[in-house]
Amino acid sequence: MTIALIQNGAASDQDTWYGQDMLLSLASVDLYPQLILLGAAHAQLRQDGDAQSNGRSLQKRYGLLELYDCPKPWVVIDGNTEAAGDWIMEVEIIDQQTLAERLTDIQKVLRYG
Amino acid sequence: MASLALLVESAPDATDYRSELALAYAKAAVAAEHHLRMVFFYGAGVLHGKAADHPATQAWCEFAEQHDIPLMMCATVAEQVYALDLNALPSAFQSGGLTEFAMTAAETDQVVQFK
Repeated sequence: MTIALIQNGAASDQDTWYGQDMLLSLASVDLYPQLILLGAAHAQLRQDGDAQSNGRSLQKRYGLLELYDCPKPWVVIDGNTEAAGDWIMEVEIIDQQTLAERLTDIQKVLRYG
Repeated sequence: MASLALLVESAPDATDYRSELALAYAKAAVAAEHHLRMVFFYGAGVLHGKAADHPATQAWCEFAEQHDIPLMMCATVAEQVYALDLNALPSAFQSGGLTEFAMTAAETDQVVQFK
């Protein structure tokens, strides 16, 4: 069984936080959810891309994924968009085609943002 | 026959009628003899707990009571985001948390999200 959670919004969006809370809950029960970042959500894992809510840091909480032994996040980037660089954690850069192929093997997908 | 968990994240008065769509899906799943393990209300979906007399909320309660299906509402979002009184939820709703949903999701064949 595999489950993935797609984040598609800005760090400051309420829905982003709902998604992160869901992601961490899935991780806490040993489901090893796959985080996927699309579009504006890329910035969530960039240096200087952190956001705060109720005293919580979005990026520090993403760091918990490593403690839960979750797979490294997929960041979906196509074309000439800058892929290198200043990520706060190890990620895997994939394109849309690869994402589409991999999603066929994932039974449960949730989307936020 | 599959086991399912539904995730409802749309308010009962949303103009996109996601709540009604989710209920229609739930009814169809039960009619097809799939096992609906839980309906979890998250995000704006917790507003079903504020509007006991809303037709969508009433329809969910009637469906849940008829088929003995847990309607669980995220207590954290209900209290901290929408300031709902968890002691005054509509009859068929119970408060719970993401961990309970995650554990149910782990055990079901499918999770279907409506937002």
